[in-house]
Amino acid sequence: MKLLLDSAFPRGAIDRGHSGVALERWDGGEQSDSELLVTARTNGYDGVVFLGHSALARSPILESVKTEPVIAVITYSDVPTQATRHLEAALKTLKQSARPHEIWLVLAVGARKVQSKAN
Amino acid sequence: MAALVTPTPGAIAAALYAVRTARLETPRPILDLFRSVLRDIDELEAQMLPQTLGRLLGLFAADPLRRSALLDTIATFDMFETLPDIRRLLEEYLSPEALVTAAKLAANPGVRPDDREWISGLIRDRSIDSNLRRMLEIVSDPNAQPFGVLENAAHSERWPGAEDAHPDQVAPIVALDESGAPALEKWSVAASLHESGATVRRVPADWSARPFSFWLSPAVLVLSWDPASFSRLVSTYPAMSASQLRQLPRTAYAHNTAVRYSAEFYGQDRIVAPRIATGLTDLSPIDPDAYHLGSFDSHEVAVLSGTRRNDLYANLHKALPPSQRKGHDVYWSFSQVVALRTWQYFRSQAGGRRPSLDLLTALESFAGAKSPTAVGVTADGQVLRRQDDYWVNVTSDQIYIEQVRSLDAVFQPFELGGYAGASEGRSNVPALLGPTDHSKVHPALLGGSPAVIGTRLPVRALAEYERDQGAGSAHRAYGLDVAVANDVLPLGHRLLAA
Repeated sequence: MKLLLDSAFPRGAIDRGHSGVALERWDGGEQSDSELLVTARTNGYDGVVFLGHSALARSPILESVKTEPVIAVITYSDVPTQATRHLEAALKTLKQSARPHEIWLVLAVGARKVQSKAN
Repeated sequence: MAALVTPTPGAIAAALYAVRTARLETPRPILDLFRSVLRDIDELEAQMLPQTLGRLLGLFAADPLRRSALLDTIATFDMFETLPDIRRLLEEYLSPEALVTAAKLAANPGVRPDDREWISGLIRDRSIDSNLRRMLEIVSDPNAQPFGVLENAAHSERWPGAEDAHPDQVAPIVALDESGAPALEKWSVAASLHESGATVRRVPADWSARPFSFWLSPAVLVLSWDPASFSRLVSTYPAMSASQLRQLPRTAYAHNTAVRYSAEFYGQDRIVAPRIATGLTDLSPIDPDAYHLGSFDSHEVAVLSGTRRNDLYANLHKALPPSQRKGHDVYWSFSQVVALRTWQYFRSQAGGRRPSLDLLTALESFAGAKSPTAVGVTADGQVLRRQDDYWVNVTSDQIYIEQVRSLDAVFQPFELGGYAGASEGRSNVPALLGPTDHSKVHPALLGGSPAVIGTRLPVRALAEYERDQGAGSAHRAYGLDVAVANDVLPLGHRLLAA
């Protein structure tokens, strides 16, 4: 599994991948949320990780995931270092359970699915 | 020693198709041909790309135009691995362009000594036009003395480390150190560098021969995925230093970073960063497709509209309820931020009328327009559009003759007296679309949260990082220019504190 971290994550976060999940970071400039999800899909990523629970309110993310076969992972924490730690702890769950068209929220205590194509 | 690999018939067939169908009448035929070859190849095929293109040379004997384009592509991307194929070509026919290509490639340290010696012997011993021989000597011999403009340019381009080189008069050379490089991304980086105006010099992971003196110099930018390998270059060229080395990220987007590093190193007058294609580039924030987007939290609304957060939840709650609720969190749209900012703007105007709260509803429900200069607002709550020399009400079509402010004016910075965000005294409300020199607000970018221009990096995340890790830590962690970080961080801290 290969996840693309949004630019809000520090560069060092890419070293936190494990359990068969590789992390890379978007460094490709200004794109809308929808464009980033499409770019991720066309470049072979399984999903995009967005920083901060406010991303749950961004309708382009919610809508794009319905049409694009990618996973949107959103960290509840908007503190980059803390969010990275939470993500690191949730990678195994994401690898085992997250599927395209789903939105997952990463909390301090683990990850949970908050939207799938069906709902 | 170069890796011994053989391209698969499938890879050759795919490349053959790409070269055969590539359009050569475009303004950038080499780049277009190269990118069409790169399309749809996988990592393994990318590793064998030079060998694959080398095999094609013999297949285009009857199509000199395409073979010429192929040789240009091979020379442009320093595909020294093709030299054995070019050698075979030259053994059949002493084509001048194949000779020049071979002479250029021969300088690469990845070339086997016997191939290099064979080219030297060819230039020395065969019957060749004197002008061509002279040019071949210039590009293959670092100690050749150039005369005239053309020879000087060719010499400077091939041998940037030579004492008499004029590197500022030729395309900037970017050395791409391939140690640990992902093959596909490596070619993508090379294509983008060529597109930006750079000359690509590949530094192979394995050397078959010691590099020629003058092939690199302290003035050449070196891009690498594995900075540890830079030591072998320094041991060959002792004058080189870490100041000319930049590390590329291991992402599928390293090509953008490579161009940015090159532009920073050589200057934006010599390296042209291609415009990144994005819908955001052409979409005005108040365009109907964007105006009602955005999810600004109370901190962002407070700073960008000049409103106290308390007032959002109390005094203004009925007039401007949040457009979204997610659990305990509430968010306002860009149109609401514009409405609130406009209301505050009129409040800030000395001697002006007290603005009507109708203004909030009118601007929130306004459909949007192509440009902020085409939209007018009045303190009594009317929204107007520009029609010739008049302002016309968007709903009634009546011409309005009293004082009108364009939204463009409202988007500029203004001051509020002791009200917005500041605990005392006057408070600056930053420009809405560009709160600082290096930040921007666009409702389709990160929900409207102020971001570093040209990135998806929210300035608030930078401030959060510094709050967590200490002052001065963010620019390193995010690979951000210090000046840019210093410009945007105060805004980030202000957003956190609002």
